[in-house]
Parts: sequence; C-alpha cells; structure tokens
Amino acid sequence: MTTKRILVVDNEQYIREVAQICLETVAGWQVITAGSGGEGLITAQAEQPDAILLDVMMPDMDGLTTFEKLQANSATRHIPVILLTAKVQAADHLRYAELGMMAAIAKPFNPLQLAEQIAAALGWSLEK
Amino acid sequence: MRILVVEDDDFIAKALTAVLSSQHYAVEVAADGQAGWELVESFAYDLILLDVMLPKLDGISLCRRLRSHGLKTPILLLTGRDSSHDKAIGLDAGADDYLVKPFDQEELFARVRALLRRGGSTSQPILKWGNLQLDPSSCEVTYETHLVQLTSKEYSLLELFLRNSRRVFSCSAILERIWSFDKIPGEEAVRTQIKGLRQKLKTAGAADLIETVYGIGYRLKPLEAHTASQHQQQTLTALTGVWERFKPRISEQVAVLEQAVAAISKNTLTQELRAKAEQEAHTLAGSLGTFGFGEGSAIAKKIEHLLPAELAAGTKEAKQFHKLVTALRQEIERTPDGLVPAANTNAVAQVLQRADTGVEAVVMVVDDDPQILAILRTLLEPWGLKVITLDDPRRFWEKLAASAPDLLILDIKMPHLSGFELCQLVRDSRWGGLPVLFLTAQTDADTVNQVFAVGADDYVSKPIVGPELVTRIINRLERIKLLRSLAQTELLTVGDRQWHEAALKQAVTENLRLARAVASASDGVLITDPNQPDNPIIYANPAVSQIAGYQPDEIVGKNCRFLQGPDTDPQTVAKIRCCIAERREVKATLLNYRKDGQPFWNELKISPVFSNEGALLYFVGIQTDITERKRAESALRQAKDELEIRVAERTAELISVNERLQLELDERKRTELALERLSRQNQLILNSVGEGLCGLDLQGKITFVNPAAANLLGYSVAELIGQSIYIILPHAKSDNTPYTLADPIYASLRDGTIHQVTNELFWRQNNTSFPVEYVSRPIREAGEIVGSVVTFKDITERQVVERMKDEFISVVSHELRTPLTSIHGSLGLLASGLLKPGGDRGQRLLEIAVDSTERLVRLINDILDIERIESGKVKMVQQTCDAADLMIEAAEVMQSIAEQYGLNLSVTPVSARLLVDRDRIIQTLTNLLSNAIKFSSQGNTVWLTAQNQGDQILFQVKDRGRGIPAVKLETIFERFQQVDASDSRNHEGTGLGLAICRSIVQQHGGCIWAESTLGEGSIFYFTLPISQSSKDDNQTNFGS
Repeated sequence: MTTKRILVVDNEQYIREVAQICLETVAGWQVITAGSGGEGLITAQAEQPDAILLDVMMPDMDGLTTFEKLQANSATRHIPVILLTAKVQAADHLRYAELGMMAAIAKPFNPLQLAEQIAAALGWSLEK
Repeated sequence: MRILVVEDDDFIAKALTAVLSSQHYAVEVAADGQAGWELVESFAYDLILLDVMLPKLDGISLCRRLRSHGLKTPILLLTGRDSSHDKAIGLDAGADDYLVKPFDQEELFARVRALLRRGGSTSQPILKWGNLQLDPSSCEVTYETHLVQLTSKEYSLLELFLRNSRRVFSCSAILERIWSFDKIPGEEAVRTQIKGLRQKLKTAGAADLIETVYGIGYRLKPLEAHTASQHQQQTLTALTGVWERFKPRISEQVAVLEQAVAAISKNTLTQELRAKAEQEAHTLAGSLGTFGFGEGSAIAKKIEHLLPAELAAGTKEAKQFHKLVTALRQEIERTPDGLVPAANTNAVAQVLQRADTGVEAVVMVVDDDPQILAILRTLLEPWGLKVITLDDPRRFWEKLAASAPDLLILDIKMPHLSGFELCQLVRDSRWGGLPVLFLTAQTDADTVNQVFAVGADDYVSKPIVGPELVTRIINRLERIKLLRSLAQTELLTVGDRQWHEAALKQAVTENLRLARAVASASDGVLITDPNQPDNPIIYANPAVSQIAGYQPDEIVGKNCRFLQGPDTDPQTVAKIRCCIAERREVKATLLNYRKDGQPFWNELKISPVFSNEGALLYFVGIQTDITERKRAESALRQAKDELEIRVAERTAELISVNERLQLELDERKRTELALERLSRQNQLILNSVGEGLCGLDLQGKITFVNPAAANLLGYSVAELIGQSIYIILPHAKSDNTPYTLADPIYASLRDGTIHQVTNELFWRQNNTSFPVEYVSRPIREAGEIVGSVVTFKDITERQVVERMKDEFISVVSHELRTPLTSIHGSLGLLASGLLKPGGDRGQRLLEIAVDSTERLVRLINDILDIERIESGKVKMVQQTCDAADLMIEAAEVMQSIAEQYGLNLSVTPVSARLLVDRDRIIQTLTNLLSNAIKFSSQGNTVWLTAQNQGDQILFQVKDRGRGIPAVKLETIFERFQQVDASDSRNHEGTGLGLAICRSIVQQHGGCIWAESTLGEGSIFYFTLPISQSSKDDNQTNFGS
C-alpha cells in the first residue's frame, strides 16, 4: 500500500501547517498544501492527491466553488473531497453530502483524530 | 297714596307693607275679608291689594261686595291661584288686575302704579308740574335738573298734589290719604309736612309750588303759564259765557218787576203779578250775588221785602220800588266785574280745565232756579262731588231713587212743594238718614229755626260763597261717613238686644213647651243660682240624672263640684271657676264621676243668664257625656299616630330608596361616561397601534381593521371591511401549499385557541408581498366564539437585521475558530508527545500556538471594542488637545514597527485646537499607519500629514503600497472585510481595525474614506471638527 497523499487547501497558513504536521505525524501521510481555492485546483490536477481537505471560508474563491470546479474537471472529479469548516450544523452536513462531499470536519479539529476521521470517511485503514 | 292690603298671611302682609312703604305708599293691613270690608267702609284708599283665600269673607266675595256698593277704588287681586279660570272669576268679581304669588317686586310696583294711574287724574307714568318731575317708578323727584330729597311723607304729599293737580285738599283729607288710620296724627302734622316740602322745593328752586287755600286746605299752585291775569281772563271769559247764557232770563225776571212798577203806577197791580214779582225778586236776590252782582242781589232782596207792602201809586214805597227796579235794571245791564269771590273764580276755572277727578260723593240739589243749579254744579264738581240737579220738586222722589245721593241740598222756596215739606218727607222715609242742607236767602232766626225743626243738618245762605258751601258739604260728608259706620255697629247691638228680649219673652210664654223640650233633651241641662251661697243647682233635667247616675233630688241643691273626683283636672276646674266669677261663658271638658264611681267625660258649656237690667240671674250648663267620643277619638288618634309613624317610615324608606336610585343613576352616568371615554380611548389606541389589527367574523370576513393594517396592506379601511381574509393571504403558502380553513389564521375561529405564526407572507393591493408575523386570537362572547382578531406586523426589517446578525455571527465564529484551530491543533500534537517540543516541528507548532493566541486576544479585544463603541457603552472622554501633539505621539508609537518593516515614517504635524478623546484619535492614527506600514514594500515611505480647513482638520495617511481595488474602497470599513485575507501580512489583522476607526471618527462628528490607485498606493483621509471656542475646553462626555 502506497503512502496516501493529501492536499490541504486553506487560506490560513497556520492551519495548513498544523494540518500538514498533524497528518504526517499521526498517519504518516504525505501532505501537500494550497493557500487558496485557485491554487488548490491547479495543485489537485497536477498532483492527483488521494483526497482533498478543503476549507470552506476562503476569500476570492470559497470552498464550495472550488469543490464545484473540482467536480467540473474530469481530471479532478474522482478525487474525494472532505470539507474542513467552522459551520457544523446538521443542515450543512446534509447539503454537503448531497453535493457529493465525502465528509465535513468541524474546526477546530482534534489533531490526533483528524487522520482517523478522514480514513473513516474514505474507508481507508490507518497503518501506524 | 294709601293702599289697603287684605291678606291673612302675616308674613306676606308684612312683606307687602315693607315693600310698598319703601315706595312711599301708606299701607294698612286687614287680616281677613270682614276687617277689610270694615276698613274700606270707614276710610278712603287709592288701591286695595286683595288676597283671594281669606278667612271670614273671601277675596272674591269681598270684591263683589265692594263693587256692588259702588266702590270704584282699583282692586288688585293677589293670589296663589294661577289658572285662567281663577283669574276670570276674580276679574269678573270686579278686580282690576290680578297678580299671582309669589309675585315679583318690580312687577307688583308697576301694576300698582298702573292701577293708580287709571284711578287718578293723570295717565302719565311720570308726573310733571312745570319743571317739577316725580317719577313713581324710581320715587325720584327732580326740579329742573336738581334731585329733590324728600321724606316719605313729603313725597306722598307731593304725589297726591301732582296726581290731583286741580284739587284742594283739606288737612283731614290729606291725613286720610297719606297716613295709615291707626297712625293718624293731628292736623299740625300736615302743616309740618307742607312746610318741609315747601322748604325743600324752594331750595331746589321751585318756590311757592304749594298754595294755601285759606280756611280750606292746600293745593298745587297753578302753573306760571296760567298766570293770574291770564287765569283771571279765562275766568272772566267763562263767567261772561255763563252770564250771557242767563242774562235773557234775568232780564225777563227784571221785566216782571218792571211790569209790577208799571201796574203800581196805574194802580192795577194784581195779586197774581205781585206774587210773581215777589217770586222773581226772591230768585234774583239768590242768584245775582253769585254771578258777581252783589249790589243787584241786595237790590233784589229789598224789592222782595217791599212787595208784600201796600204799593199804591205815589206812595213812598211805590216810589222806592220804582227806584229799586230801575237800579236793578241798570245793575244787570253792566258787565259783571270782579265781585265774584276768588275761590269761586278758581273753582269755575277748574271746571273749565275739566280736572278728571274721581267721584267722592253724590250730591243732589233741588232748586227751581236753574241758575243756582248751574252755579252749584260748577262749584262742587271740582271737589269730586257728583252733582245731580232737579228744578222741579214734583219729580223729587224718582230722581232721589235714581241717584241715591250722599247729601241733599234743598232750596226753601219752591213752587208746588217747599224745601221744608220735602225735608220732612225725606226724614220720614227710608232716606231718613240722608244729610240735608238748605240753601236760603233768608237768615232770620225763624227761618233758621224752621230749617233745623224739619230735620235738616245745616244751611248755607244765599248768595252762595263757594268755599263756605264746599267746606260745609265736605265736613258733612266726612261726618256722615263716620256716623254711618258707628250707626251700623249700634244698630247691630240694638238688634241683638231686641232679639234677646224677644227670645226671653218667648221663653216665658212658651215656658211649658220649653220645659218639656229641655226635659226630653239627651244632653244634660243644669241651672245654677249664683245669687245663692255656693251657686247651687236649682234645676237638672233627667238627662243629667241619667249621665251622672244620681236621682234628681240628689242633684238639686248641690254645687256642681260633687261630680268631680280624684282624676278631675284641677286646672280645668280653676278655669271654669274663673269664668263663672267673671260671669263669662265657658266651655270645658272635664272628667266627672257617676254615683257608682265610674268616671265619664263631661263636655260642659256654661253660659250666664242676665236680666234686662244686666243683673246676673243664673248660669245654664249644658253637659254631654262624651266618654264614648273620647274613647273613639283616642283610638282614632292612636290609629292616626300609628299611621303617621308608618307614613313617616314609608316616607323615609322611599327617601332612602330614592337616594339609592339617585346614587345608582349617578353611578350609571359616571360609568357610562367612563365607558364612553374608554371606548374613545380604545378607538384611539386601536388607531394608534403600529401593528396591523383585523377583526374576523365566523366566516373569515373582515369586520374591523385598524389604519395601521390598512396602511400595511395598501388598502383603505373601507375597502377591507367585509372582505374575506383571503384578500391578504398569499395565493399559496411559503411552502407552495394552498390555504385552507385548517390554517392557523382560521384555526382560532374553529378551536378557540391562540395561534402564532412567525413566518408568513401577506399580499398588498399592488400584488407585492411582505413577510409578516401574526397572532390569531378567538373573540368570545359569553363563552361562544364569535370571531377572531388577527394582529400582524411587517417583519421585513427584522429579517434583514436577523440576516445581518446571522452573517456576523458566522463571520465571528469563523474568525474565532481560525486561530483556535491552529492553537488546538498545535498544542494537541505537542501534548500527545508525538512531537518533541525541542524539534524543529515542535518549535514551529509552539510559534503557531503563540501567534494564534495573540491573534485571538486581539480579535476578541477588537470585537469587544467595536461593540462597545457602536453601542455607546464606551464614552469618548473629550479634552482639548492640539492635532500636532496627537500626530507626533501616533508617529512615535509606530516608529519602531516602521523600522522593523524597513520603512520610512514621515510626519508633518499641523496645529489645530481639537476637542476629542485623545487616546481614541491616537488609536485611529496608529491603526491607519499600521495598515499603511503592513502593505508597503521595504524602503518605501509612509506619510502622516494634515490640513487645517478652517472648521475642520483633514488627516491623511499615505502609502506607496499595492493599492485597493475600487470596488473594495467602500467595504474595507466594514467588519472582517479585508482586501485579501490570504495575504500573509494580514495575519496580525483582525479585519476590524478600519471598522473601529470609522466608529471613532463618526462618534467625533467626522468622516473617514480612502482613495487608492492599484499598484501606486493608497491615501486614507479622516476629518475632525476644530474647536471654535474656549467653551469647548470644558471636559465633557459624549458618544452615548
């Protein structure tokens, strides 16, 4: 089993860094990051990660638009997307699910469980 | 003016006396009809105020009686009866006017004056005599313009004269008219009053207004316009007229004498001619003097004396006769001169002026000489005497009966029937009391004796001297009046006595019959003899025995006191004894005792019986056993008392019920008023309510709608009333389902509960909708649902606010979670021990945690700060400061950061006096500088300058950074609206800095904006007002 590659898209640098260290340290995945929706689209197409961890609240292009664009692109449509959001209402979860999102993880996330949540959502098994 | 008030009510009588006296009337009061009648009989009044309901003789009867006796005095009926019928009866009975009690004083006075005018000589409301005026309505007397202050009596006196301006009033006539009869003083009083009146008039300028007619009395002096000479002239003209009328007749009479002279000279004087001549001479002697031919009268008298003598031709008597007749002819041929006595002249003048005086009395004059009759008429009429003349004694009786005179004047010598014969006949007739005065030319003792012998009262000699005749007639009439009233009283007394005597005589002759009657009477009859010791009973009829239970022989011989017992009232006994001692009649009710000891109530009536000589003969006692009556009376009284108590109780109950009702009525009225007020208030409240309000009936039709509802829905109130509620409901609900009766807006009508809906749409008339929140409540009446009321409000604005709030919370939530996520993540990893804090990654995580924590703290501070500034919870502490100082201080704060970024900070301080919160303005400046520094490239300059614009200062913070897109220039001052959030340099920013700056500047009354060119840099401006006066130096707080 090859090492999983995760793309973290968030405009907040600290969150990108924390998420990267967290996933790399806890799950041993390979993490690449993007600071905006636009950058995320390019990186996703170029890097073809196994999953994308996408922030919702971003200036210029928010997470949902980025998601739509990822879905619109056949090169990225197959990559599962997990939302990272402050909005955690049930209605939102439902909407995200309808849109084709694999999961939505609430901020602030638990650094030790983040990888587990992603793996659970995508049906991966974690190897220590 | 004298007024008689006949009124039994003492209070009203006193009131009338007081008010009428105040108007200077002399007032007398009679307390009943009979007393009124007696006063009118005896005294003269100008007006009678007559009550209708009177004891003894009622007002209507008295009125009829007065009128039937020819009394012409005005009568004013005063009564409480106000019906037209009563008035008609009063007026038909002879009253002149009618006044209903309670009367108005002013009206009373006016009516009194009107009636007095009617009866008096003048119809003028204001009495005038030359420059003198008397106003009866105000009781004011003025001469020219001077007010003449008079006493009450002086005023009355003057009014009397003015009302009877041509009459002479004797002192007694004045007394009678001006003083009340019970207060009449001596004639001296009249003179005193006249004197006072004259004095006052003289002071006012009206001298000699009242003239003394010597020997008779006083009168108003004729006006200046009728001065003596003019007056004289008038009189003479008048006299000449009279004279001219009678001159042919007198000439004829003298011609008869001349015939006699001719006959004597021829010795052919027949007895017939002699008698005729003597008759004519007699007549002439009587009349000529009166006409002013005093000498002629004397000549005629001499001729009359000569005629019975032998008048042979050539005799000395014949010669004298001839001479006298010649002289008489000469005398009558000349014009009459001022031989007429003064008073006579005036009297004639008065007739000519025709004073309309009331008739005082009727005088009948019988004289065969028409001249005398004419003279008497002219003399007497001015005195208020009605003169009936008769020149033929044969028609005496019919004339007497027709005229019913108060006084008779007879000539002695008349053809067919002499005056003496007439007088005797009158004395023997039913006219026996009529005063008779003789007019005679002869005043010898024989004639005078004969005058009185035939029963005459007085005589006046010819020629007639006016004043003498008038005085005698008036004196006679006044005496007659007095005598008549006395005589009436006496006649009554005599009549009574005669009746008594007759009754006694009858009693004697019918003794037996009476004794039988007395014996069978049911009342007890007792006779006692006061002439015997202890006034014993000398007779008792069987009824006494029956009442008292004693045998007759047990009664006779005893004093009546034997019937008394322990409970007999000693006071009543004393009263009876007292009356008996005083020989008076007594009535009493006494408790007596029968022989068997049974008490009985004895009603006693004891009368003294006198002999013709006045000696006390007996006492007659009539006694009636009234025990039964007493008992009945007592029972009746008790019943009456009980009844009265019950009536009083019932009345009290009624009063209290009435009061309660009144209270209830008052309460109800108050409640109604309160309700009305409340209803008005409710209407006002409903109209003023900002929320829409709709009343629905059971069918969902609008029965009521307030202006706010109509306004919200874009209809008029009238357009909505009666419409179905569907008119305002959405065509479909927000979930696209159609409305049914099951919906909440109807539910209240159905289930009677309250329904609240917070998200609904209502439709306006223009087919637009608006979000509403509504509540539907049932309206119940006596438990039944009769409708519902829907209150609603437009929640558009609220929804906007709520949306903004949601967004803000969402943003804040995101902004807070961002640093928290970093902190939680980094610290969580470190804490797990998976990373060593000493390692590179561990170190980086710590830095992230610290940085994020700082950011979180700033963020929280800024959020709290802007909230407090915008909600006014933070006060701006104003103080005076110089703009330059603020600029320098801000620059100093930012200097180190600028250096850190490798930037140059350029400050050009500008001085301006500001009244601001110093720290907040520095905060604003540092904030702007901080932004400029953050977004500038290394080596660039950031400028802080200012511009004094007079009333404000303009601060500028300029950088050469990358610039702000035009679309963002507005939004950057809103919360969390950073130009580029992904910019790494923005990490320290909270997104609230410019929003805080804007709040601070706005709180100081200034503006903030930005200008920018992309790639070239930005300039941030803000203004602050410059403090204009030292007043602003005082530290004040604002911002709330």
